[in-house]
Amino acid sequence: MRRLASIWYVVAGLLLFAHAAANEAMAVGLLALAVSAFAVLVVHRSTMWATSSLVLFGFVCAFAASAGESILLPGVALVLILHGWDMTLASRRLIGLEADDVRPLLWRYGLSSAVIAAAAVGLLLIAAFVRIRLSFGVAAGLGAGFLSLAVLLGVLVRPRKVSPVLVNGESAGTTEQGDEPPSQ
Amino acid sequence: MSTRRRALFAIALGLGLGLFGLLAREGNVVGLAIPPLLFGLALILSDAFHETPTLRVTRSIADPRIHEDEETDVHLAVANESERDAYIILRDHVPHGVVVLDGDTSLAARLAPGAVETRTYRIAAERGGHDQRRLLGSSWARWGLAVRGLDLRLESRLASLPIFETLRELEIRPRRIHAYAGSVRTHRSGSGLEILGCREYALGDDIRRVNWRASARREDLIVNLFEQERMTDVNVIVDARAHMHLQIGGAKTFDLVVRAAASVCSYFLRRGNRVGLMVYGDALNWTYPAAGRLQMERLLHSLAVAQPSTRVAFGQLRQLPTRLFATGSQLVIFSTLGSREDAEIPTQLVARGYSVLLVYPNSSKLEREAAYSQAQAKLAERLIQLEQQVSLSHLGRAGVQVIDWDITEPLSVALHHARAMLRGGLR
Repeated sequence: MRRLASIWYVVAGLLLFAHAAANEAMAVGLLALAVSAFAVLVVHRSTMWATSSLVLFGFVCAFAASAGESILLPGVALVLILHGWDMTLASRRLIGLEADDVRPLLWRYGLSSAVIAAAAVGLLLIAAFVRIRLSFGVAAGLGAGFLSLAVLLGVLVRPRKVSPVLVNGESAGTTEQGDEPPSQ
Repeated sequence: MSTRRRALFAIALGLGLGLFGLLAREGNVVGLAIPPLLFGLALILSDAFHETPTLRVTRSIADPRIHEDEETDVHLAVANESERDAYIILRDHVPHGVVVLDGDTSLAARLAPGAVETRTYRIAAERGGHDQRRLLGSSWARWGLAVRGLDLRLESRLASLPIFETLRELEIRPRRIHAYAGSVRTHRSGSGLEILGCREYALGDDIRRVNWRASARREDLIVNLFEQERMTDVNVIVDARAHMHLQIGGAKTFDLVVRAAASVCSYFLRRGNRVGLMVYGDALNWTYPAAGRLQMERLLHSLAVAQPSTRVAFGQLRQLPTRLFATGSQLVIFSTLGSREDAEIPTQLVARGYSVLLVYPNSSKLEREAAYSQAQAKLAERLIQLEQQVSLSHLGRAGVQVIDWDITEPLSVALHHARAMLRGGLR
């Protein structure tokens, strides 16, 4: 899983480089390669490093997209980077476990990840085909849409009750947010 | 990072790209917001539909009371009591000081409803009380990318007691004894096993006590007198002040002292005495004197958790709370008596009416083996040895029974040497 995440980062870097090279923006292409190499080196160190790499890649994708006509290659690169980032975080939970034991979990995770990625690429294809022209009305509409989406998600992502877990026959409760891998 | 945070972060990235695109009036950049927003939305939906499974978790330790050199098995069982499949990862908490020798402490499995998954692993532990409090892990969504952390309270305790040797001979002369029969010789005639002396027959003497050989020699009836043997209170004091102890390589002198103290406690309890224990160094860790097997367990548990302490309040031995010890009782002190003030304490205790046996844990051989071969170091060692000898002989003259124990050897060897020297001196 960690290796796959690294591969995604490398492929994303190459895609961005190809896109930038095709649009005669070598500086952006080289920056993409540098960020890709940096991400591969540091991404497995900690959650903070992985997230920092994601932010850097976000900037590079934005530069690459603004440098060229097509949105497709930067978009696909961003999809790969997002899933690489998520895999990195997920893989931290699997350290030290037997490969046979975690295989059922990985299959489901991989399948879900692939479906979401495919959906994102599909939407990108549509966006690339439509070519968003930002008139004042479209920009205002999109801005309002983004803001309402932010408000909606703020409402959705609120604390909620968690079902109990029984320990030795008695309820011991559970916490769901402590997501860092246990330090043994 | 939890699923919600991941989702929020992805959405924040998407919104950031979108707003940046709007501000820069770049349609392509606005389009880039699609993947992160979709990803965040998928995470939120996956998390919303993800139900934490109802698990029944049991941890059992085959033998929750072991000695330092023993091993035990830990059995972990997880049953899925929910109506859906559970995809879980659990890792048992292994406390500091516990080593997993064999087996797996983690469990990653897909559990069908009603299914039970078990793990067994073998552990050994350093001396002490070891609490296993938690079971950490995660529950993975059946579909989607959501992962929910599990932090279960599951408490169990493993006591790793100090190992001890079986001592055969340790003679004490307490000034105060109990009325009950025991094993401490009292220098008084009465019912007992050891012959104290002889005297002329008096009316009412048991005819079975007549010493016929002596009677034949004296041409008068002579009876044997036996020495009374009674039980007594023994208070074992372990000096747990950190600056009194060394750690050289893997050897900790405090651990050796604890084992020796356990040996002494076991010896006196086996002989029917009441034994109390004070670990002097941290808080006043005092086990009231009592007899029997249960008391041995109490003492072992108390010694198991004893650790060297740096508390200033107990920096000097003069804070020893003598009020806790019955007047005239036997005190067994394990200490190297770090300062001159400390060295006077055993003498003061004797003056107050206690019988004092000082076990002096001598670590000079251990230090010599570990460290140096320089001439100056040898001279220093010689000086220290002379100072120790002077100090100990001074204590001996003051009525303190001293055992100079080389901690690289078992305590029984030191006791044997002390007894042999005493016999040689008497001859």
